[in-house]
Amino acid sequence: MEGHLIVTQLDAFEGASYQYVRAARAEVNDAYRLAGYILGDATEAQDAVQDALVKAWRNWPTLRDPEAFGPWFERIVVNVCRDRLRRHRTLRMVDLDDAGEVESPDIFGSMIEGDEVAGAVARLAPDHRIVIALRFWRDLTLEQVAETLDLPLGTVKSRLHYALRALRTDLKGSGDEA
Amino acid sequence: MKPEMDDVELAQLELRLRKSVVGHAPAAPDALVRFIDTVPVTEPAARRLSLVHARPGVRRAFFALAAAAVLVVAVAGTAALVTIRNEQSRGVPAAGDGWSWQRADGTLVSVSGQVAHGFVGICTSGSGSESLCSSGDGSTWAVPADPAIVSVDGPDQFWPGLIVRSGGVYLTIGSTPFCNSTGDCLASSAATPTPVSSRQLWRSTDGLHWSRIDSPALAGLVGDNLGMVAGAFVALVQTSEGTGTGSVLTSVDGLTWSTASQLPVRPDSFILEALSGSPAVSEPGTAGLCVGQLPSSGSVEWRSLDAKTWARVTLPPGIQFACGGRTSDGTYLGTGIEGSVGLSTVNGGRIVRSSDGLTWRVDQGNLPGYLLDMVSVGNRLVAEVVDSPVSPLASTTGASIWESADLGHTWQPLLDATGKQLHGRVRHLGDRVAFYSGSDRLISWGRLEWLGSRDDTQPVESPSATPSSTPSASHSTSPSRPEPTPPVTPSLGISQADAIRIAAQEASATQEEIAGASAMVVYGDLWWADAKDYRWVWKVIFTTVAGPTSGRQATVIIDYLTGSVITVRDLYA
Repeated sequence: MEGHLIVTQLDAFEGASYQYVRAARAEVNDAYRLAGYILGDATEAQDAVQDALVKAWRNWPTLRDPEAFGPWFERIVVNVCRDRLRRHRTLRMVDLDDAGEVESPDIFGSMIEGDEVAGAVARLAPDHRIVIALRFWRDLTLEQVAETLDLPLGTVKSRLHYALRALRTDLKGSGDEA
Repeated sequence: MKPEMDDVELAQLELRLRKSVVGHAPAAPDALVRFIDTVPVTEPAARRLSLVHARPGVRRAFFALAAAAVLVVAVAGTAALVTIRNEQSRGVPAAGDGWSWQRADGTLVSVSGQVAHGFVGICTSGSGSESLCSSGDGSTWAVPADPAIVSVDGPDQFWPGLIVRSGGVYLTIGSTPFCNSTGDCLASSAATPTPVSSRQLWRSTDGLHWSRIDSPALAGLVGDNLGMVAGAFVALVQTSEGTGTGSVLTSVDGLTWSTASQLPVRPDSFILEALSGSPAVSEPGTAGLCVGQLPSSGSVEWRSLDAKTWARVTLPPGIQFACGGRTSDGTYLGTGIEGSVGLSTVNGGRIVRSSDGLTWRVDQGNLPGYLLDMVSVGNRLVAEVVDSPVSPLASTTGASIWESADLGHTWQPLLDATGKQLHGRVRHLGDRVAFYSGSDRLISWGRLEWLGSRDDTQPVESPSATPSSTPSASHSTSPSRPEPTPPVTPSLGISQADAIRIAAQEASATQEEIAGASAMVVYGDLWWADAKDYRWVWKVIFTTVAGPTSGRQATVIIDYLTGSVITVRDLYA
């Protein structure tokens, strides 16, 4: 049997796709939780992370250091979630078939409905909701939140302050005596 | 003015916030994890090559076509193609004109090659995972692989690439599959390529029992680069992954390897591809070893007939790489890759010819468009052609199948039993041509539907035995279907426009929603449809925000291949 060998330039893709898959697999759980906390709906979270994964791959060439994938991808997830929140005006979609029911079957929905504080967070404006999720649910430092949101530290502090104040107002308004 | 929070109040609120998430930390759904693997295949990246988008099928196809192009085919007269117009037979290859077709079982299989007692490949199951599989006759595939066809010595997982045979020695470069925590694996040739450092050489002296060959000389094997040059096995290595220099190793027995020469191109950032050739090849030694480098300043290519000395190849305008062997008429026939400098874009393959194998010109007769693949069977060349440059989702017509009986000077459509041109993918399978459905370039291989052979084909190597697995010992990846029912799955995927149109009708979308619709092709199990079934689908989403308190989001899932609506999810707020 005779054959021949060919050498061509395409290996960059193999390496990139391998690195992408490996990095994305390492981050997908955190990304899913973060999206779920922000969006309050498992299906929405899954769709958001899917969108983020696609965006991440499309922008992979802009990522100079694959080791920095985590924070970079988290930023993409947050941006996707923010877009979704703004598009949906913070309203949670309800299955038409289940329109008569108010119970949420997913874990993020039950978190919002079962916990007064989480429910109050879900009623915050998108930017406030995101900063709360990153700071307290994703447990990032203020500096990390600023990096993720690509905002000055002062802006993050201010946003967090107003978010907490809005939360307190909401909780007090609902009769909570925290 | 609202009073500011004091520190105690703030601490309490923060504590409540942190507590609220306790017990609500689910892992990502399996479908989402598996989705990751599909992204590099289905989604274009900013700097990705058009050719690469279709990885692995198209890229492999290009190298396959390059191998096939060196085939010698006996010139035969062009006979009229038999066209039996029968709508029931659409998609069924037409018998006649020397062709006979055998129904395959529709398995998703990437065939590594022929071994002593059958064929070995990597099969994709309904859940999307991949496994070593085997077939006694090429038409019915079994997972796990039949131990009478492939038997592995030692604990290592055998995940073969192309299988090369010389005399009684079989070689293949294997790789380590990418497996998730649940044990589902993807071959390195799929969406998750294995780094070069994890490739291994496997050897068999009987075409049945395989053992791994460990040698320091083989460290850094790249790709599936394994072939035959000047009567010796040839493999390419590089000193380290992605860097350093490359070497050409040769071996007579597959056990002892020595450096024959240094590669005249730098291996970094290059894919090094090898082809094992095919049963019907050009005159021995006339194709040799072709290596190319495609820097931004322009492509450079060398050829070697002995793996030691190298001669510069002259390429025609627009062709970045060309290689082929001498045919029976004394001229050289090969395939070239047409693209811009550096392969930043790839249009597709072209048939090239040469009087010496070094200076090439494009000449593909009346064959339209661009080659994706070309194989030979009997006295025919069979080509898989797209009519427009290769690009992601550029064509919904799939690849059309053409045949030539005169070394590629003139081409005729290969017709199905209704007289329509076949669309799909073609590969070599022993002395036959394997015809795959699912021809769109998103699917790497598609389902093996038919095996075609020619009456004038001399059997190359009939399996000495065709031990098929008993149902209790193994299971076929898909049940056999009776002849001559036409394929259930059409070879074409529907276009984005059609997907949106179908979805709009199904979801009663408004014109505004249609205008703002998003549609993407995804591959995954249908978790959104409560069905565990991996397939390619269009996911079309219509979104309307009617006001601060109302909106609608309708998601329609459509089978990418058939256009049938799988599910509609209408959400209102």
